[in-house]
Amino acid sequence: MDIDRVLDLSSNTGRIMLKSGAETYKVEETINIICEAFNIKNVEILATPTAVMMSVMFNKKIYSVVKKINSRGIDLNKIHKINTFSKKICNNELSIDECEKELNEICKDDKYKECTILACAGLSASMFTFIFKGGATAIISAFIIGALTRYICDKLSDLSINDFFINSFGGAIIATCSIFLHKINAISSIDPIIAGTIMLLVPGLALTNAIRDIMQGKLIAGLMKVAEVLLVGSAIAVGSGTIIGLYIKMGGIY
Amino acid sequence: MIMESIASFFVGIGFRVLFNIKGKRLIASGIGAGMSWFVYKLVLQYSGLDIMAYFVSAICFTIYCELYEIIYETPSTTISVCCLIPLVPGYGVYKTMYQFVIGNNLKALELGINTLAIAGALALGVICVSSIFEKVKVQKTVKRIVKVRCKNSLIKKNINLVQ
Repeated sequence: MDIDRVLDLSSNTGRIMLKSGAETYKVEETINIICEAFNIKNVEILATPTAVMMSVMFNKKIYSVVKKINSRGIDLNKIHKINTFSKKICNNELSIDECEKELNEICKDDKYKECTILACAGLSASMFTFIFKGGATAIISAFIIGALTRYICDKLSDLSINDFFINSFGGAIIATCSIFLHKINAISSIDPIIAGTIMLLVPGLALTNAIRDIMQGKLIAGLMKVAEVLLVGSAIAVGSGTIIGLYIKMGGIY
Repeated sequence: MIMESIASFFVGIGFRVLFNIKGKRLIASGIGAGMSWFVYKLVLQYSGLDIMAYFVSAICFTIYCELYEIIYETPSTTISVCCLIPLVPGYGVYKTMYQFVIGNNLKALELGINTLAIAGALALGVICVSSIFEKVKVQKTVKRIVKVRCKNSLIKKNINLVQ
């Protein structure tokens, strides 16, 4: 039994899960399952949104691994694949070579086509605008603004620009477009359209998950996520607040 | 209210693609999203308590998600994310930070507490149900019930085929 390879495999699995936005308790569970399938017991694991640490006593020697996580997104397809992967390992269907091969296979990106993603961003933005009681023109323009914001944010994150800047830029785009529409009298109020399109950027889901982590006793992970949420929220507010503030200063009516 | 539920059905489908969930069960996530908004509005209308409506809705859609997990054997995160999206206080986070940015601190505090309460109510509802479903006994009973149902429907189909 090659313990180095098992630890490397399991910590890499944990890293992929955290990169695609899994809950920390799920990560700890999965790493534990993989290690136990290869007869390594009593592993101590600490998973946080920024790092996975694990350490184990094996044949009277202590082995430990630390993996850092630099970027976090949401990619639930990978989590689904890793779930089936860990179930297979649990039934002892795979040798360690096969496991490493399969993990490499999982690492590859397989996203939807770009136009599908943009259309769905527009669809969700316009439907949110409807829920926030926007009129017909507001719903149609929310579709365009949502797709545009998503497109620009994607392009910016491909250039690996700072997250804070990307979000504030997205907020600025939304505010500019909706003020423009208000100026040409296409919409009566800018509130529903901002509320609808901002949902694409805002981390409400992350806030709920963070509180859930805190309630389950994962205090460090939960507090880290809350900090991230507040930072992203203030980035968006700075972006759109600057534009709206300038508009009011220049004599516009909000 | 029903129109809004249909709208949140489409929100669920849209975010399913944005979160990159593959598979053919697109409609299931849409139904979950629509249902969670419908329950929220219904409870809000009859009780008038905002936070309570969020809590009840969270309980309902988590039961739906856990059943989905047992039947299709995929982690329940992949669907609970879609169900949660219409209820999530994203706009609250934005409004709170916006009031802070323009210097209106008292209003920001009020909105912030409200946002945290909503997030807390949702999280509490999710935890209440999922911690019950984590118990192995409950899972086994539910699995048995579901399997019996499946078998019955299969038998019915076979009978129809024979006839």
